[in-house]
Amino acid sequence: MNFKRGHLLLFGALFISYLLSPLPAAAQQSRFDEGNRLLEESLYEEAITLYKAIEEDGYRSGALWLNMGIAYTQLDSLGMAKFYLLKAADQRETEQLARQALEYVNERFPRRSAVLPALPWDRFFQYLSAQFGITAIVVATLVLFNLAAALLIAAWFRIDLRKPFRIASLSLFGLSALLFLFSLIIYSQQNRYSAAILTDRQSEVYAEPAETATQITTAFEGFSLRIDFKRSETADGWYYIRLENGMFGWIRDEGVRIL
Amino acid sequence: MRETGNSFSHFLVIFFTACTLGMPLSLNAQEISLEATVSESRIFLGEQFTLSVEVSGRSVRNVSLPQLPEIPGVRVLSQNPSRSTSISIVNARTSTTTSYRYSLIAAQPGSFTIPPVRIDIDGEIRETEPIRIEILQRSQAGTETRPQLPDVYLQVELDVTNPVPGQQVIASVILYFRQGVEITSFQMESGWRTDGFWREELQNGGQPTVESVIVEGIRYRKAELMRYALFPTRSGELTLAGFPLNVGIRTQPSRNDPFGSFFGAGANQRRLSVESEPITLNVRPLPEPPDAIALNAVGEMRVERRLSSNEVVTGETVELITTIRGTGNLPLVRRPAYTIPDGLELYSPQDASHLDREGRSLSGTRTFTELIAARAPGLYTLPAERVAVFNPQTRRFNTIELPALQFRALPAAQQGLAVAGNSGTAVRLQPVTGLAAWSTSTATRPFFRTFWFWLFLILPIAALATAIYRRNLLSRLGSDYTFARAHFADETAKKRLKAAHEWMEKNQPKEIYNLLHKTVTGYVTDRLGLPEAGLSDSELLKQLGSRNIPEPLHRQISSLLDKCATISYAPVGSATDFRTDIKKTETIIEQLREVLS
Repeated sequence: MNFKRGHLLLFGALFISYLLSPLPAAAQQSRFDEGNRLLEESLYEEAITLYKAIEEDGYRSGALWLNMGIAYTQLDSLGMAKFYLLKAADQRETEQLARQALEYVNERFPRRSAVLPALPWDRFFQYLSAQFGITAIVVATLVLFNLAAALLIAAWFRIDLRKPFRIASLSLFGLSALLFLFSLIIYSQQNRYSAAILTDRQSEVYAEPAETATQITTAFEGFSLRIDFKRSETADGWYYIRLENGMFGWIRDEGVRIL
Repeated sequence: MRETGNSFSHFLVIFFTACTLGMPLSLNAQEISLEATVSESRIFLGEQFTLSVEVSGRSVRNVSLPQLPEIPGVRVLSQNPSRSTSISIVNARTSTTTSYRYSLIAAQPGSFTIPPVRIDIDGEIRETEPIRIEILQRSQAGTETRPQLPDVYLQVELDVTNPVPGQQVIASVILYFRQGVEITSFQMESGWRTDGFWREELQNGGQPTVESVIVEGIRYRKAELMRYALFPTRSGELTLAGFPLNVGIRTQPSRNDPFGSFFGAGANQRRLSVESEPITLNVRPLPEPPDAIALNAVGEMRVERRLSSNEVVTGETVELITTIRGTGNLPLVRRPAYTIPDGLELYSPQDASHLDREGRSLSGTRTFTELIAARAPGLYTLPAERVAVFNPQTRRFNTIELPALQFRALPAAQQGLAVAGNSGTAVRLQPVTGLAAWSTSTATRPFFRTFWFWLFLILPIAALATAIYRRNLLSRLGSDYTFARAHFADETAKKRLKAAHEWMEKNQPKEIYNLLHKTVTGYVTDRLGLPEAGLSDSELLKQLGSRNIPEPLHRQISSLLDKCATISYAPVGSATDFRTDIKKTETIIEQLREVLS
């Protein structure tokens, strides 16, 4: 009898925990709704506080970032607005709205950087990374590699089909090697470099990680930066960056938001 | 007691009589004008000039000859003037002008005054104003050492010689030409270089007027052809290049040329290129400006600003209009950079100018219209500002106070969030409401740290290695018979032992031991690469002995081979014996496998 009762209690506890498990998600949705209400009432700072709390709890959502971007736009904090809108533009469900808002925000920056077009191979790898993602490329590499190995083995044991199998196998090996190389380059780029946005009104860019060093240029709010993490490791509190106009230099890490 | 009533009636009678009698007189006085002029006010000694007395009016009926007074320093050539009368009808009103021209000769150097000329007009004696003249000796008028001036030359005359940056400098292009030269046309030849200046051409309006002047002892006539407003754009020494002009002239033939009028029918026409002398100006720097918004305005100007509306919907724009009026460097005036409070957007201003080039200087209005949009509803105040305008007359900055302006932004309709677009139109930023797609932020492991990556990478490599081994084995088996025998030795031995088991079921001892013999000898010869046939048991054992196989095994093999050889002559054993020997053979094969591998 006691045994049965113990089982019942255990099942009950499990059931209650099951029921309670979606509650955190519902809680952050309700906070999001409350933030949206504040946004509609033009209480932008209050809305941002709520949105930030959701973000700090580890939740990610294109809608959340889009609304944060809009709230920051209304507060004229255009650097932060651009940062969140770029994050929202990376999400399929909010891409279109975020791009529309980004277009507007970009027009409002009083100072805009000259943009040096990216090198063709940089553009190529960015396209691969954005369009397919490194995981898809690695999966494709492995599939092709396995297929190539299978065809090569088949070529050894099927004398009658040796030539076509061999050609197909070598082609697939070459292709998989190329894809693997691409995935290594993309992985290396993703780990070494990262896009970032300057959210401070302006920040000086120096030749060395010191404020006494030669000043190369000034970066302004909303400027897109590319951080080199490997070089940045050598100086605390500084990032080694590349500006969109092709200039390199060191910038204080305050006010730089990494995407 | 005095009769005031009578006195007053007398006054009225006298007043009305005077008014009635005086009115036509005053009317007549207004309608008749009398003027005396001389053809030149500065005359050389011995030079002839003209004194004109002109009477004009609508109701001039009877005009006497002017009574010429005694004129000091001047001799009158003839007391009888030439007379001319002209009648003009304008708007059905007739007016008559009668001119009397006296020819005079300058007889004595010095400054003199032509006394008033008296004339009787319709019975009333009138007088002209006195006229001052100056009679010069030729040696006195100019320096003889200087080179003689050309018949036609051009000069640019400036009203200011040491301006400040932005100050308006009027440059008059003046053509000088001698008596006897007529200007038929003029045209600027090429661009006039005015580096360091902003230039605006002023409109003269009509034909240039000609004046008579004496320059370095020579009588010239001068005409202002063009006029420019120049604004220095920096301080320091600035040079205005020579003004190039192409002039069409007609000259009268010389009196000494007896054939001039005979062949030339009176005049020579030609075109002439003239250029003024370059002018260097020393532009003084502006003084330190006061603490106010600098407009770069120099001149006499007024500055005002206003808002187009005091209420606006959030996201829509209100115009902040700044108007700058007056005389000065209006084209160079900068947009006032006002302090715009947080929460307001400022968009590209519109700039409109209305410049008046008709007068002696450049004047007009400059209007800057800034578009301001409020991002959120509320009351906004544009703070009061001070702007500075430099007055070149007083050589000081005038500070103009612009009062604070206020407007209210009303809430917009709640459909999306309206913000002002670049062109001043509202753009809607559409937030996402309702259910959102959520995910939790998890750090993704790099692909090379995943199990599946290594699995699918190693799997084909292992398969390839196996295939290579298999391929090589098959290849050797096909080409190396000895290797093939050694490779298949175990398999052959197993087959033979299996067959021995089958014969054991059939109770055929000879067949069993024959197979056991073959199993052992076959296995040894296959593994050692010895000939399959023709090798005796003793030779086989000898070969095994040379391979250093363990002695017990050697003895077991020898014993088994002996039993196999003698079984034909031995009594038939039981099934247990057969099984034991088969088992023993299997053991021998296993041991040999280990020893010979």
